Amino acid sequence: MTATRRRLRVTATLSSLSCVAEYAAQLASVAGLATADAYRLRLALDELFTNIAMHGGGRAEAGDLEIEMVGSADEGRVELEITDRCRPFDPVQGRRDRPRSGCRPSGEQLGGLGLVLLHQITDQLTYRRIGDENHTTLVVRAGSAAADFPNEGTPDGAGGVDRPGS
Amino acid sequence: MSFSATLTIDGSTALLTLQGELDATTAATFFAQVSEAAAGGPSRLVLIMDELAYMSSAGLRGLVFARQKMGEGVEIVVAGANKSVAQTIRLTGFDQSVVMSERYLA
Repeated sequence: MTATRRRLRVTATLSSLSCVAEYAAQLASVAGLATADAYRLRLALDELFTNIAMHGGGRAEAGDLEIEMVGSADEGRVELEITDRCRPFDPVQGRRDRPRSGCRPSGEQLGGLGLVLLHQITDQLTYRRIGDENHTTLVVRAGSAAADFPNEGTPDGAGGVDRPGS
Repeated sequence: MSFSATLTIDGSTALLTLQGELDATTAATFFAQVSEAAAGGPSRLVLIMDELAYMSSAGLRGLVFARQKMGEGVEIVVAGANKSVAQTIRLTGFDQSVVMSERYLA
């Protein structure tokens, strides 16, 4: 199977997020990703895009910045390169540790939640600063152990919660 | 994105039913309803997620906000989350501060 490449260029604002989600869904479909892997792809791109849109400014007015995505969908694999001209930001060096078991996330960790997820749900994450551009590349592969996302949409958990008084 | 958060009060329990897709563009609605629920001083907050298709870290921040607004004495239950949403909660450790439940029994 020959890889299919698709490109998307949008303004770096949250109003573009629905387009980004649709773009991720298209790539997942072309690659034949199962539900949970397609979910991981969307979530990873969402977290990266939202981080850039909300925190990447500084050199331009909101809405002036653009983010370009070039996705390559192959059988069971999607590789995405995200390019922006925002201030330097390396998500690979960002927070990658899951909060320790038994510990509740503290206030200082909240800003990095998206990065915590990004590291755990991608199969590969790389970053390069080229000139005045950030180039972040992520890979999602079908059926990988990344994040151990389940490939079904059924409810999760154990047991039910009773209504008051029942 | 389509998202709704509907608040119902059942005795001392606040039920917040989430539907659709919860991300950075829709999280403000979630935060507002959590604030309204907290204002009533419930002893328990149940987040019904059976029809929540998607949740990003913006939704996780809503869970933290709920924890902070409700206070430590109030139980927060996440009911009916699909497996991907539940896994997203677990990956960041938030399953330690809420009760994860398969469903909210009618």
